[in-house]
Amino acid sequence: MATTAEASNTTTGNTETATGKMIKIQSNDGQIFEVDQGVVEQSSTIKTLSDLMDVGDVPIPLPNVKASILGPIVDFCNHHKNDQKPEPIDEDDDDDPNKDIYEPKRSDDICEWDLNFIKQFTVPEGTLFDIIMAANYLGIKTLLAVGCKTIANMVRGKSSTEVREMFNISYDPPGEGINAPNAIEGQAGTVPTTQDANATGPSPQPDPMNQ
Amino acid sequence: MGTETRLENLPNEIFLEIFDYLHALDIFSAFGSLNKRISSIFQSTPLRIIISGKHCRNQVDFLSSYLTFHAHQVISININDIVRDDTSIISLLFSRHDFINLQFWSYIPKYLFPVDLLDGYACQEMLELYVPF
Repeated sequence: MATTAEASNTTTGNTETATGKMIKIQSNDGQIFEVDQGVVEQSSTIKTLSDLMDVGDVPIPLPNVKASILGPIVDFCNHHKNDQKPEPIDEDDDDDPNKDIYEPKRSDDICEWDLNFIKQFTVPEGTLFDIIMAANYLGIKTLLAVGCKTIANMVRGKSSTEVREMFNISYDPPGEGINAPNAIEGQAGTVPTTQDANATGPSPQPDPMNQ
Repeated sequence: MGTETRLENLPNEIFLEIFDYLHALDIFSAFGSLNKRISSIFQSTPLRIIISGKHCRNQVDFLSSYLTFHAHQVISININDIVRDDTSIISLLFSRHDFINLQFWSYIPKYLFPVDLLDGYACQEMLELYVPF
């Protein structure tokens, strides 16, 4: 049975507020959140669905997001709904000083509120990836960027061994993928991706960052 | 238990988004030898090489082991800071690999060659070489 969570400061059942029309969204486990236009505008998926569907008082189903993730996402969007929107960038404008495709994007510019927000999601519980996948599904670019920057910051300067351990990444089956006999030359600089002590392959490369 | 979402559950497009925040050395170092799927994802990402600070020779050697198969993905090369034996490092990189999609490269030995010690030609040659393709 669906339950309703208050995701705004408005009275339940009132679908018109000072910030505009209220929209109801429903997680895949039946929880309903009521959000205003400031939140809707940040999610291309919810915006498209609310524009296309004359939903009235019927909640928009979001089958890929559970309530434990959707709730914090609504909080994130509520916090950022009054942020100044970046000016649209002309993709053909080569003079744009902020556009430098020759440098990796910056990942050290996460604001303090967002840093504290993302800290509640963890790798062992899988919630860090849940929030990233939900942001991607809902088309919330700012949240997706915070998630991807967080992962990038976690792996920067780490070796594959450390990354494998950190994220519990699986090995290819013995004799397949990177372990395939004919893949050794194609994967120069790699370590064997099997824990078989008798396995053969190139020796682990020294860590170029720590010598 | 065991049903938690993992890094490997992320779709390829999100891996590519994450790679956008990393330069080539970090991508190769962190993701280079994990498994077939992840290796195949970074075959389609543009690579930005930054060589800086100490141990640049080791960085070049490590990069080279991957660039044999990924040089065509490189769109920019930045060699910064103190690069000892710079000529051989640069020639090593370019003699080993064909960067057919390289669009930008810069070489800035910030501390080795103070600007006021160099004439205009040397500045152009030694401090920064910018090649718009």
